[in-house]
Amino acid sequence: MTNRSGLSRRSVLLILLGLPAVPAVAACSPSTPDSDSWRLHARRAVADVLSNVQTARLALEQSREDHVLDAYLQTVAIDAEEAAGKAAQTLESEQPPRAERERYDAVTGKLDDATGLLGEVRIAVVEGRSELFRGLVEDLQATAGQLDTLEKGLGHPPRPKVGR
Amino acid sequence: MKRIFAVALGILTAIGGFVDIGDLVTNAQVGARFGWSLSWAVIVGVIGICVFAEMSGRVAAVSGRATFDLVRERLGPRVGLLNLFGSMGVTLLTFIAEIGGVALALHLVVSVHQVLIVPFVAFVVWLILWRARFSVMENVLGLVGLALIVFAIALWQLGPDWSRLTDQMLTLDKPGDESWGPWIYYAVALFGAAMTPYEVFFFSSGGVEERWGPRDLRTMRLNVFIGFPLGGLLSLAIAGASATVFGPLDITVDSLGQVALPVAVALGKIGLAVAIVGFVAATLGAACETGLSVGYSVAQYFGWQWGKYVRPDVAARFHLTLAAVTVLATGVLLTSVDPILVTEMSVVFSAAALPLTYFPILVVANDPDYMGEHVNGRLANALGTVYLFVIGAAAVAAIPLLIWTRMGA
Repeated sequence: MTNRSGLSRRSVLLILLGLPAVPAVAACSPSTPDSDSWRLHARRAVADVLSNVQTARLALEQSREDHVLDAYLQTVAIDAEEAAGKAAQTLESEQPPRAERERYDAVTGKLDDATGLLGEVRIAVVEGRSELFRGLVEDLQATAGQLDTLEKGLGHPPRPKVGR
Repeated sequence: MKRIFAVALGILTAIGGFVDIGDLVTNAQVGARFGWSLSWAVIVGVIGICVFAEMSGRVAAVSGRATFDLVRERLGPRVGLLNLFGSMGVTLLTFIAEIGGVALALHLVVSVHQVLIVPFVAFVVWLILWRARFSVMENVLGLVGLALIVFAIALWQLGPDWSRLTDQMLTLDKPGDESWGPWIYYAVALFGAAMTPYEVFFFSSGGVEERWGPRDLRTMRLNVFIGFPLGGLLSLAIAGASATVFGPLDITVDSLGQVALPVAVALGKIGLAVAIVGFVAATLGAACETGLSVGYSVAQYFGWQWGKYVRPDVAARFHLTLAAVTVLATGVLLTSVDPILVTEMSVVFSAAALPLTYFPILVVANDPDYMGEHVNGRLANALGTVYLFVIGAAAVAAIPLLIWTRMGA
C-alpha cells in the first residue's frame, strides 16, 4: 500500500525509525568546521595560550624582584598551565578542514610546546628553583613572540603553494 | 560626635562592602580587554543602585518592614512567587560564587586546592550567620574590605597614560581590535555586577535588623550617595590597574590570581598581601550578605520570623534555610565547578533578573499607604522610571548576548 507521495507504509516507518539514528551516526565523527571558523577557533586558542604565557612570565619577573609570595606564585603558575592546556586541548580535538591541515599541525605543535614550557615553569616554581627563573623568563618571552606571530598569521587563509 | 562616627562608619562599610567577586573579576576582565571604554556601564550601574537602594532603605526606615516583606502583600502571592524564584535564584548563584571566591582568595596564600578549602569556608560563613551580631559582621568585614583601596594606590603608582584612559572613558567606543558583541556583553555584565539584586535585599532587610526609623533617613542617604559611588571608584581602579598592566601584553583575565598581579607589579609583596586580605574580606562579606539575602527573601515571602536580631530558636526556619543553602552551595562547589565561571554566569543572570527585583521596589516606594509623606518624589520617580527602561533593556539583552558572544569570547 502506498500513500499519495508514492512511499509505502514500510518505507515511511523505516524513515521514521531511521531518523533518530542520523544524529547518533553523525555524532560518531567529529564535525569539521569550515576554514574561517577553524581559523577563528585557532586564533582564540593561540590568544588564550599567549595570555597565560605572558601571565607566567610577568609573575616570574615579579618573583625575581621579590614582589610576590611563594604560594601566590605557585597558584598563578598552576592556573596558567591548566588554562593553557585546556585551550590547546580544545583546538586539538577539533577536526581541521583539509585546507588548514598543515597549519593545524603547526599551531597545535606550537601550543604543545608552550604548554610544555608552562609545565616546566610550574615544576621550577613548586620546587623553589629560583635560579632557573631567569632562563624561563627568556624562554617565555621568546614563546610569546612566536605565539603572537602565529596569531597574526591566522588572520588570513593559507597562502596557496606555488607550483612549478 | 557619635552621629558623625556612625555616618563615617556607614560610608566606610558601604565602600568596603560594595565590591564582591563579580565586581573583582568582571572589572579586571574588562580593564584588560577594553581599558576604561566601559566605565560608563559602571557609572550607570552605580547611579542605578543608589536610586534603588535609597528607595528600599526609605521603605525599610518608614514602614519598619523590608521591601520584599511588602511585595507579596502589595502585589499578591503570584507576583511575589515569581519574584522569589527569579531574584532568589540569582542570589543563590551569587552566594555560590562568593563562597567559591573566598576559597579562591585563600588558595592564593595556602597552596591547597580551592575545592578542599570550600567546606572550611562554608562552615565559617554558616558560623558567622549563626553566631555573629549583625553590626559586627557588617562593620568588620566592610572595614577590612577597604583594603581593596590598594588597587587605587597601585593604579596611581603604575603611572598609567591618564589622557588615554580618560579618552577611553569619554568617547563611548570599543577598542579597534574588538567587536561590538563582546563589548556590549561586558557592558551588561558590568551593569549586572553593579546592580546585583542581593544588594537591595540585604540593604532593606539590614535596615530592619538595625531598627532604622524616619530619623535615620539622612544617615542612610549619606551611606548610599557617598559610600556606593566611592565603591564604584574602586571598581574603576581595578579596571584601570588591569588595563595598564595587562592591556599591552594581551593578557586576558581568567583567574583571581591574575586580578591581584597589577598590585604586585606596582607595590610588591606588601601590596599583594593587602590585596589578598581585601579579596578575602570582600568575598566573605558578600557571601554572608548573599546567604542572608536568600534567607530573608524566603522567610519574608512565607511570613516566617526572620533576622539576626531575634534568637535563632525564635527564627528557626530562617536559620534552617541559611544552613540548607550553605550546604547546597558547598555541594555545588565540591563538583569542582570553576567559581570564576559561576561568577561570570551570576552577573549576567543578575542583569536578566533585575526587573523582578527593582519593579516592586518602585511600586512600594510609590504607595502612600505604606510611605505616607515619604512617598517617592518627582526626581526619584523620574530616575526610577528611566532606570526601569535601562534595566528592562539589559534584562532582555543579557541571555541572547551570553549565547551569541559565547560569554564574551
